[in-house]
Amino acid sequence: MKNKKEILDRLKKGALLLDGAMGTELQKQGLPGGVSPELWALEHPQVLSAIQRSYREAGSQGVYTCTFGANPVKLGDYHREDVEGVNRDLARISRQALGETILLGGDISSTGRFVEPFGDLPFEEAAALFRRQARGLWEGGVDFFVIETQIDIQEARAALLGVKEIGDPFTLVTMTFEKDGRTLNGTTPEAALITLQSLGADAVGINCSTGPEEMLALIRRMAPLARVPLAAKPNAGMPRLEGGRTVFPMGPEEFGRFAPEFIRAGVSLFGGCCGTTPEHIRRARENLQSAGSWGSGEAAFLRKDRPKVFALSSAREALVSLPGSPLTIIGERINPTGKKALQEELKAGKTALVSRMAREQRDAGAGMLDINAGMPGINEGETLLRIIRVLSASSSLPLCVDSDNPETVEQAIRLYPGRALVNSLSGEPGKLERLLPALAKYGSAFILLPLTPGGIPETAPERMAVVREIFNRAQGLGYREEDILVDGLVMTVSSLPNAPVQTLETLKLAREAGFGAVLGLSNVSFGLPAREWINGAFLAMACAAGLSFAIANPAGEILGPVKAASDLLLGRDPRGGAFLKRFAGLPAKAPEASGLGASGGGDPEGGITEAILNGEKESLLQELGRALEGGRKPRDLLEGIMIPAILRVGDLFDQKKFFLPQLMGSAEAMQEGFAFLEPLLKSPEPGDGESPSLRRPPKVVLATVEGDIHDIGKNIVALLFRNYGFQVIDLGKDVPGERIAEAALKHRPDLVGLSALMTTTMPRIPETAARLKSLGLGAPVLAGGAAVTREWAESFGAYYAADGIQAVRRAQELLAAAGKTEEGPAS
Amino acid sequence: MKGLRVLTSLRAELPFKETLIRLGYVKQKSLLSAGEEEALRAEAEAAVDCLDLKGAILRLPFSLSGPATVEAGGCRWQSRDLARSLAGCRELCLMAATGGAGFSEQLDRLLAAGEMKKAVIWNAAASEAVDAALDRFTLLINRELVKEGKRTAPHRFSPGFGDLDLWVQKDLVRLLNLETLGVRLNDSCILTPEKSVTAIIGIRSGIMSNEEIREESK
Repeated sequence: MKNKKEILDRLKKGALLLDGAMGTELQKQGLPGGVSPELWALEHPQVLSAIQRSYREAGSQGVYTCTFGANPVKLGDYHREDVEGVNRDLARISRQALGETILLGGDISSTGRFVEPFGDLPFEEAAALFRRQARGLWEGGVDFFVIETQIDIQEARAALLGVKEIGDPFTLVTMTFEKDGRTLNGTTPEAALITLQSLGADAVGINCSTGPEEMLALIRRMAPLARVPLAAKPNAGMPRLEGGRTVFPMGPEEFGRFAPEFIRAGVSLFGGCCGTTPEHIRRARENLQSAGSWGSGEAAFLRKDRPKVFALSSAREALVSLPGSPLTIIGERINPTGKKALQEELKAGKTALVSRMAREQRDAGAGMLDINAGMPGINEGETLLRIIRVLSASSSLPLCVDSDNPETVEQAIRLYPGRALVNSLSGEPGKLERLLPALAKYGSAFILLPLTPGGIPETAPERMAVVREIFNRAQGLGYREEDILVDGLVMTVSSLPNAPVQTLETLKLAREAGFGAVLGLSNVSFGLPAREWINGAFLAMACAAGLSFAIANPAGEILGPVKAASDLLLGRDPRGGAFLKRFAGLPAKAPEASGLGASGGGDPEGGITEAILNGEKESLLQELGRALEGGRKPRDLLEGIMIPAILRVGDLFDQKKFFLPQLMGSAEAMQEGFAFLEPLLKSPEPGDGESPSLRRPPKVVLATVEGDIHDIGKNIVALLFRNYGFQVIDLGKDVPGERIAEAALKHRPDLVGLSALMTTTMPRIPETAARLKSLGLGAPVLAGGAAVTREWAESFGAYYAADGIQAVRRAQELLAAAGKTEEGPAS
Repeated sequence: MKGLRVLTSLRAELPFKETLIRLGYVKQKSLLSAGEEEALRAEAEAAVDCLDLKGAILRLPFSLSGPATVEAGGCRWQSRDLARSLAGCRELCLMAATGGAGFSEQLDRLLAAGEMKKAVIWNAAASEAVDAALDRFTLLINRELVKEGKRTAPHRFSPGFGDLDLWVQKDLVRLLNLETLGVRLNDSCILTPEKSVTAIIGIRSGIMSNEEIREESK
């Protein structure tokens, strides 16, 4: 085992060439399908040794053991339980084949199971599985560890902790990204890098995934954030199937040409993955030599011009704050203090409200979320873990773990599948000693409260003295200034008039010293009226003093606009993009229409038609009101304007110019308009005569048949029937035939509409139709649903409609044929 | 079941183009202004946000006993179409994805409130997002298979497709242990929550020639 520093020193001198694929090489040498490659290699050590030697001869300076799937889960599939022994023996075969000059990497990959909160494998169980494999490799004499082809950031974390917990070896972690630049579960390269390097990975990178070209783009995204060496092992192009075989299209020459580009992009460890061969590696070495690219000058982790970046991550996204970045709001709402509904929810072990609060805060502009579960009557640690599990899935925002209990904090940051911010650490005796090493182990960023056992220092210089004292201790554990947010300590201005000035000065000094700066705003205005204005003014001042994060309710009416304006004025929103996005729409702009409006302008007739065509309920009501005020009769409005308008909507739908959302928008508007006019239509007007609006409306009973729960189609049909003047008796979904018959007997409808989506529930339609017939009800049956066809419906005497508009038209035809109404919509 | 892989808390993606098509949008025919498209996308994103996406994957060997009988995991499925889709394969993968009960409740609330425009958008977006989860499972499986020189067959097959009876859902629910993900079957073999899907896909060995595949699919 090489000392970790030796490997790092080696990488500081220049790039290291790794090996290429093992699996595809083993297949070429006769590895049959359906067997464990690791166990087969153990039985054929000469094959394994020959492949590894060929990589050494091609120029690889680091070679992986053949232990990709030698974890307890995968070996268990082949009934092998001596995980440590298999790994130890395979490592020894490799060492013997390669000698001492080649760096031997102990290869660990996925168990194939997903780790909580993204799967059913408990996090601690996963870490324990990887510890077993790592122990075997360690005994076998590997120089470093490789955790590779990871698609689940939480499994990568579990594996990294598993390895780190057996010692402190140099560990490289490489993730696999899809063509969209994310892992299967959505982790970006930036988020993966931030999470893994802060958790103690000594090098981070990408393997498998794609061909070199696509991978280069992802490496370039990682490089500015890399504090550790970067690694890249691309496939020999994207695999494709040719003649029934999987083929990697990129030959050695083409592959080799990419090697210098990777080194220029900042990579320190380069090799190949699926489809690459010793020849690919040889070409890479030749190209690196001829391009003179072995030097260390380009390694991303050594770049001197790298800005100081405060970086956090969730399981999916990175949050990066640079000195000129906009203010980030840490949403403070997920805290049970003073929130009865949340208290009850947490007591009941539920989290739906937590998810909703997270969404609302995100929509209101929060860049991350503070989570606090401190309240009597619940287990704070368990509740916080439950919140983390839920929000890791339902929110992409990084979390700020807020607890006074060091044990709770440690549990939370161990499970959290990203790099968390911890709120907070102070000079409180006992707590600092206990919490700081845990924060360092998991690489969490933290909020530093400049408090002393004696209380809150009064002046900014005194507060900075406390900051420096705590930072010195943190620095010994690997922390840098950019990992820490200094809290300026907000005091109440009503009792301490000079306190806000000291707070602002603390922010300024903290930023000058290279730290980030944070405030919990609202305390400043405690006890005063018009608190929002004080908070807003204070926020603007704090932004000018260098505030980078604010803990606040992002939905505050003043806070959001002040933040946006402050960012703009301080050059943190250079082209005003965020400001304009927020405010350019004010005052509210009318929605852009499809260009189908009638005359528009001041003409109520055109306005009514346009509102129906555009599905604008409020405009429709306004236009109807205007027309009534102008002396138009309600019935004229309905029959002369609204009905022609909805008929036009139907035509547009038939022509496919309108599709479902527009049809529904218009139908909803029509419904609102009809409800508005309905009371006015009840009393007959002189000369009404045989107006359709006074006739008994045709009745239709609608139901989704027994056993079927898919009723959105039936609901669409119901709305359209109502639009066209039918009285709808909607029985809902999963309705037994006897209930439909009872309703038909009671309401004596002109038509019965039945729907079923699945083939298993379709037979309920003819059964119900037969039941209705046996009761002597003459109403025709209209059948619909995804699997229903005209032929099938007609086979038992029913009628068929493919969609809602067709259903209405078919119903009108049937009623006209029966002499019950005119063809065309009635009201 | 050994080898069962359970995925929880999955990222739900919005396949917007597919959502539009599901809603009846026809390119170069349907009228959709930029403003309407933006509003529709926002609504579809809100729907996808409410999904609690979970899934399960199980890889199994299978055998064909006759041209229309597939035997896997102790089950026997009669389907010539399924057997055809598994031509050239020695193994198969069962998979399922569900959008969770919370989404169905939200959709029911929209329907009850008469918000049909929203409801149809939510319904379409969620259906596409759940289907997209199966696409990602297929990607994941292929990512792993490539190291074995294998790939999945070109198409997934689901109960209810072709001549594969919907009652096969019963076996899939059991083999994939879907009840632990909150998925159940009603007496009509319909999965609840509503936004739940299952599928079967074959695994082809890379060493099989096209002629062999054609031969098997006869």
